[in-house]
Amino acid sequence: MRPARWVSSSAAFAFLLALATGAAAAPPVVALDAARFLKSDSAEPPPDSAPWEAQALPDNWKKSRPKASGYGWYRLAFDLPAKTDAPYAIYTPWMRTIGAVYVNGTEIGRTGAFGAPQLSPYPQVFVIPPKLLRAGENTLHVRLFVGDGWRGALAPLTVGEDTPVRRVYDRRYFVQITGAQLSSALAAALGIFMLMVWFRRRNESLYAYFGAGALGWAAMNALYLVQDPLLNRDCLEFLLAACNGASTVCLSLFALRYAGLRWPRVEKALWAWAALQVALVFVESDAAWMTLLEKVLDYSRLAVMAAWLVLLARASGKRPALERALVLIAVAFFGGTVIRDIIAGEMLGELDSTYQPYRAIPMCIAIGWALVDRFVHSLNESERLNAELERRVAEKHAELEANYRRMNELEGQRAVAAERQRIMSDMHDGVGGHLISTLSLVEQGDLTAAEVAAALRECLDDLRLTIDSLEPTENDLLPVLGNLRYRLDERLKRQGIELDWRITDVPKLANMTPRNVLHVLRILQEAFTNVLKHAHAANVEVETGVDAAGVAVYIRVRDDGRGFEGDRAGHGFANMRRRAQVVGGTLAIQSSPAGTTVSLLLPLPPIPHSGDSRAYSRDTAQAA
Amino acid sequence: MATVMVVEDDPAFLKRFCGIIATDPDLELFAAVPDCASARQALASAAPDVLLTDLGLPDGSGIEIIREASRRFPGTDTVVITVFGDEEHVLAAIEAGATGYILKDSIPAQFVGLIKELRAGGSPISPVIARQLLKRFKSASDAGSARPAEDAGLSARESEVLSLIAKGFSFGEIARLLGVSKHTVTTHVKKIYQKLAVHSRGEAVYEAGKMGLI
Repeated sequence: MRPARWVSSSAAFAFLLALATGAAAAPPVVALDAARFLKSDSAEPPPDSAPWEAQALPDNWKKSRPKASGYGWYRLAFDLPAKTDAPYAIYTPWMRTIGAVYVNGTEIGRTGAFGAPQLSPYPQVFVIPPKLLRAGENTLHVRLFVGDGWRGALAPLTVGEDTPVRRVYDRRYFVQITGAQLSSALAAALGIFMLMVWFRRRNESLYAYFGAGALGWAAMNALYLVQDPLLNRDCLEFLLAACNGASTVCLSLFALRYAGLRWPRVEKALWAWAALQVALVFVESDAAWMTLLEKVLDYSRLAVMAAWLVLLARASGKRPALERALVLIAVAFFGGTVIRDIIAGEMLGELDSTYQPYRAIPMCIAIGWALVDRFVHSLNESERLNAELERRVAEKHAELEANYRRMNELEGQRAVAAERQRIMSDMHDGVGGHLISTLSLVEQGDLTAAEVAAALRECLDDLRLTIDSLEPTENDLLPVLGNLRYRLDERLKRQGIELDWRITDVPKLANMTPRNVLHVLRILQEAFTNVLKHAHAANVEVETGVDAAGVAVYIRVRDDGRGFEGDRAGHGFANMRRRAQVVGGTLAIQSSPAGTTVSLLLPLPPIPHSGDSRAYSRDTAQAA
Repeated sequence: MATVMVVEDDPAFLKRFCGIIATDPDLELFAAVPDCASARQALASAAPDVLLTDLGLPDGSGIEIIREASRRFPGTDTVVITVFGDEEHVLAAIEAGATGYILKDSIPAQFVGLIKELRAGGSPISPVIARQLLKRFKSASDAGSARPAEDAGLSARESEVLSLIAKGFSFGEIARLLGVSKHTVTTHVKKIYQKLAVHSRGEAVYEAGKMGLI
């Protein structure tokens, strides 16, 4: 299937070319390829009696009279059946380097100024005024000037009525000039595009080499069309050699990269080779070594071209089918047209290749496609990777969430276990102990009903204290104190003890866990129990505030009772001190016959969070 | 003279409450019943001045009795009987319309004192409950757009009273601190209770609307 497609597409291309060149132009157009030649500096057509020699057209001076330069004359003849009034024209695809056309001895036009050699790559058309024509044989003379070192040549002439000749000329013009310009523009655009891609992706030299190669080729192609005398021959040849060399090397390096190869030595050698070709432009020498060198370079050019074409073809084997097909077609077309041009040039003496300007078009399409394919493929790949990445992130996310949930559960279980442990120990310390001692007293039968009730009430109070300690305090001590007062109020009232409640706002404390809250409550309850049971006080004062240093909150319970001796409440105070220590505070007890003061100092968080809380504690300290 | 009804499934306590009421000349027993069904029966035609109810009854929750009674008889003071006066039970009862709570082990004097305080227009409240109420109203106002806290329920004076209660100050002390009568303080508290009940009814309506029930 692939070869079939290849055949059909190249056949189609050949067919189109045939159409365009008008190879099968209809009469009354006559192609004249049999001429006579006379090397003569004469300014007028030499007489028929001069020593004319037969010469077939095209006539390539390089072959027919090597190293010749100066003026030469061609004489051709064509027949007209009758005198005509219609305008006639003469067309030739090329005339090198300067030519003038004479009809029956009268000049009808020239391509430039004689003596100042310049190269016109354009096809030429000359109108023949009807009055110059006559029935029967008409004579055409072409005066040709070939500058020293220039390649002189004359293509066959086509004569006929103006319209059909002009049609042939137009077709030729399209193929030789317009098409070549379009082709150059296409290659240049692709080259620039590839260079832009490379500019953003510097590590892919593949794009740079192809871009530069295509640009070089486009420039070379455009230079062939230059006929402006602004560029002298040396300059033109230099530019051509430079573009050609750079383009060939770049395309070779591209082929290497395309094949995934890096041959640094070969690559350096290629650049040196190109530089040598450019340098040789400036060498004017007819020496034998020079001729040999030029020959060698000519063959090396072919060898390099063949090498990179083969490289491309082989490398395309690993690529997708469509790309492979395109590359193979392009390689075949490129190589095929080169071979055809060599044959045409060497054997048929053609000077110009019709295919040359189009040689790179399939190559541009194939490589353009390959690089776009590569580009799209990496885009797709990155999208796929992105999707993959997202999927994996989602997976990890779910995993983390599950982990977090599990940890939360564990944490919850741990907290529940700790809380259970705490409540157990509180029950053991508090209500459990109370109940056991009450029970043993009841069993011994030593208690009155009222005493049992009082003992049980103590149990209940303790239970309530435990419940109060579970109230979330958010490190705020005041509601805890408030509730303690609420619980005790009734009993104080019954004993006729006046309570002075001097509670002011205090900064939040650190570390007021339920356990610590319970310790604080037990300390205070113990202090109140002492007041209620032993002190015989009339007034109790409870006060809160921040100490002078601003590092602790104090809670002070002061009564005006009779005080106590050191040994009496020893066990109770020891317990209170122990609890104070556990919550990180200190307990101070002063007792005299005039009353007892119990002060609990609780530390504030070590570093205030902001200036605000610092100011707050100072204010409160002053207020206290 | 105030009529008192007691709903309590523990016969010993029921007997104790009845005894306290019988011995006080200012109190009269309206009914003493052990469950929801008989409570509803007793409340079918007439209402007591004070209704005391336990929460865990054999055929339902005392909360239901409080809700029904406070809706039908706005003049009745409903009181929840609780062992510990813990916030969860008390707040639920207040939201249902209760105007106070009483500890189960209260001595007769406390018990009678509370009933009289209620009849005088006051409501007993502990610092922990006060603190919970403050929190409750604060979160309601935080949730409801940018309205000032007062709009959400409490007036500035009411929240002042609550925060002082939360710090353990007695009604008398608060009255002195604020320069008002003790009676004013107690009526503030009662009003706060009512607001919480209204507030929670509103919330219930809102919730019902959200669930598509009304």
